[in-house]
Amino acid sequence: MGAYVIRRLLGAIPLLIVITAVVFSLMQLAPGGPLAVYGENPHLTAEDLEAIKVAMGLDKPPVIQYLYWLKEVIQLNFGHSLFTGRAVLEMIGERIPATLLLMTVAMSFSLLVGVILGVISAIKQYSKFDFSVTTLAFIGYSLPPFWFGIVLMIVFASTLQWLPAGGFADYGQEGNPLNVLSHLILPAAMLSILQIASWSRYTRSSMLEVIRQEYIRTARAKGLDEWSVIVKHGLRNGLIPVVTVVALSLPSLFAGAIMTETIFTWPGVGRLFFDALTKSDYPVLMAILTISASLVVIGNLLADMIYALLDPRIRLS
Amino acid sequence: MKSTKSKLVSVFVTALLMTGCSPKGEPPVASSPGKPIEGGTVIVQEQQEPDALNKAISSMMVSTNVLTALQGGLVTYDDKLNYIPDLAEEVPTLENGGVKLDGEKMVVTYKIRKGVRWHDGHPLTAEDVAFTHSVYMNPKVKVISREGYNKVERIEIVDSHTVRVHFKQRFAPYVEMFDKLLPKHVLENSPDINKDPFNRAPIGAGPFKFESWKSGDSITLAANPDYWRGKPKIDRIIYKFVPDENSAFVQLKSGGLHVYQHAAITQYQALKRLPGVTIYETPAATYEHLDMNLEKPYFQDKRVRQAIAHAINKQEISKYIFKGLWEEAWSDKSPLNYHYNPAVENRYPYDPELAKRMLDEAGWTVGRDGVRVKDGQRFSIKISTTAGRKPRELTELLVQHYLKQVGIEVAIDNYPGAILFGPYPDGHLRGGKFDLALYAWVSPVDPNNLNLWHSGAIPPNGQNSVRWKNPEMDRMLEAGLVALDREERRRIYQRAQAILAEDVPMIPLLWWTNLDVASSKLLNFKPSGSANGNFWNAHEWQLTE
Repeated sequence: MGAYVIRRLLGAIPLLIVITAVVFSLMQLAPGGPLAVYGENPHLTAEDLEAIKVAMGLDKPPVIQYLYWLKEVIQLNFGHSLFTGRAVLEMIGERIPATLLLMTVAMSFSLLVGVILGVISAIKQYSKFDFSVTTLAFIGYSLPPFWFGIVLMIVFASTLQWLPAGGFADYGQEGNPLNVLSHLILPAAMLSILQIASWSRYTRSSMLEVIRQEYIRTARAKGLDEWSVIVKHGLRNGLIPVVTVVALSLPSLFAGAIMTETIFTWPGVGRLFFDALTKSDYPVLMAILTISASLVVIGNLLADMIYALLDPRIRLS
Repeated sequence: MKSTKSKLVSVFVTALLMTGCSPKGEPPVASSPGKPIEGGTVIVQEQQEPDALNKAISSMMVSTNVLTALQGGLVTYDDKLNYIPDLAEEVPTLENGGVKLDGEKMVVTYKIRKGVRWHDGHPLTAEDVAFTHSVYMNPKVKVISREGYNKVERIEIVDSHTVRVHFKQRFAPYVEMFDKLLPKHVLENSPDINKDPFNRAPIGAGPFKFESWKSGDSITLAANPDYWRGKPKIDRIIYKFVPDENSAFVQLKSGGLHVYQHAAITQYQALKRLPGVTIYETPAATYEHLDMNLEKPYFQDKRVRQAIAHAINKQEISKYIFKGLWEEAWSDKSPLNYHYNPAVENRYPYDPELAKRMLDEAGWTVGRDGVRVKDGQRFSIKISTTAGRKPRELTELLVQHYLKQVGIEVAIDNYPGAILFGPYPDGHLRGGKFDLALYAWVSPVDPNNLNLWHSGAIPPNGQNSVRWKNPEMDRMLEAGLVALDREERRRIYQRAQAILAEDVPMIPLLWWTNLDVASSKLLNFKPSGSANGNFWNAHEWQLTE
């Protein structure tokens, strides 16, 4: 198993290098670039612009810029932002706690609720419960997230005034878990409603397939109680496809959710990425994309390992 | 219970309306101000987060907003666009002897206010002025604009509180310089100003001190008890980064914000119905305009450009898209500006019939499909603006409609800001790839705009994207740069505005009206329409009970 993991990780390195090269080229090809933000300044002269270009290191050919970047990354240094002049890892690092908190809370909650709803829907297929869950799932899935976020905000923050309308915590209350929690509820709810809808659908269809299998009939025939049949024999197999989807959403734990973070002014990585994107802040974009790509690789690997745990027939070698 | 239910229904309706149109409004509820109190925190919305809290290297409005309350400079201006001394004892002029001419050269003497200290207690002296200049001229610092600083020959420190700036040549906009000072004792040994931690936690001499910057969330400033005008009446300003305008609305409503700056025009009616807030409608020094690329064959004939100016109904654009709040623009100088030329007003009243006759005279005759033709070429052009900016996209549709009325076919060709404003030669404007372009310029308090209209400022050299060449205009812009007599300078720029109006390389459309909304508990909030922002008098702000 250990050798397998190491082999897989080493094998991913060339892949990641290719990915970064492609992403870097795409950024270079995109018109505009980091100097465009200065274009709306009527005082900007050609000399000033040229000086800024040199100070940013953008006067060198793109291939050289990429090689410089790669050399730094091998030493785990993602460089400095073109605009803030700060170390990129420091900028990302200070956003990670907020993003991780929001994403793990939303994901665990929606997984828990989604899987339970999905399993019950599958067992009671075509019942009133199943129809209601299905209908709600489709509604939840079709809601435009930005609109739903605003509705949550208007209901709970503006009209009922139960919860704050945005931010991470009130002034001076960052260390108070209850205050942070009150700020967390609305954005987490906005994210969860979509995820619950999709998890419940995945679980339902996967479970439906499993509970029609011969071994489930055998388990029942052996006289096992319904709980053991569903949870031990059914759910364990039914979760395999769900695990893939969950493992593949690992990068989103890091990258955050741009729209939710924007609406609820949550200080996460998603907004950092979006800001960097609008300014073409290459070092910040490259760092976030490279880390995300690495997490996709790791997520895939994790999924394979969890398969082996869930299904003894799968052997990793 | 019933009321909660109906409230919730109305909430859903409001949510629908907020993402689309807004309902018919009622007059705002006036609330009587309570008793003024000492202290308290004012939370202000900012749409963006600063890149660096250093005016030398940041061109963002939010950086200006924070630094105006924090840093302080020699001279600044108020909400009426008058220059006022800040850390200098007076604004140096020819009249008061602060400016002396020596042939082609010029010397400006600043007397620095005595007893002013930086937030760390270090006295502010003439050395800091000289140091600020050295930062602006350091080639390794990615300075946004060295305008003026690059015309300084040397800086003479007369005594600890007097500094003489020797200019190589006369430079009338000298008063715009040194609007934010940098502390020498903190930065003189910095290996790289672009990356210095100072940009994230600056030290200034203004009414508020830096307290904290939480990435993605807010910047907090605390009152400076040693401020030279006296301790501010509020304890704290929090600049909260709220990028989404709907969120800003709800946060304002639920009391999470005291000030919502530059509110969306679509929220106007809904804002008017909010209790406990005051809407400040401030005429801004920013104008939307329609640029014509003079290198394109269609626009080389002045009569065509004038005809287009007559074909556009500015009032109707304001009425349909900007609730009638934005005023018609006739010049590149704001009517609030001392140098404004009122004679250019109504130079091109809306008159489609006249426009048609002028196009006929210019040889563009109406073809079979209703589109004008000259020498076998159809008058079919493109208009470009910032994609995704709703009011501009709507304005474009109206322009398209007006020009169709006079036989000009216009296709929409929009680009994201990064491409539209991108650098030469790929940028749509700089690269001269546009026919018509719709965007805005800020009209600075100082009238110098050589970089916009001088024939030597055609990209890549400057921002003359319309590629206008007019020898008389060039002469005016050169003369305006060195004219130090206030009246003479006004005459020069009034003439320049007349030339601009006659030649119309660019049609001014509308002056922005800023909608700033503030809690009625905030006193002395005096928004400014200039590029200096709303914080010029933050030391006077006060809260009521």
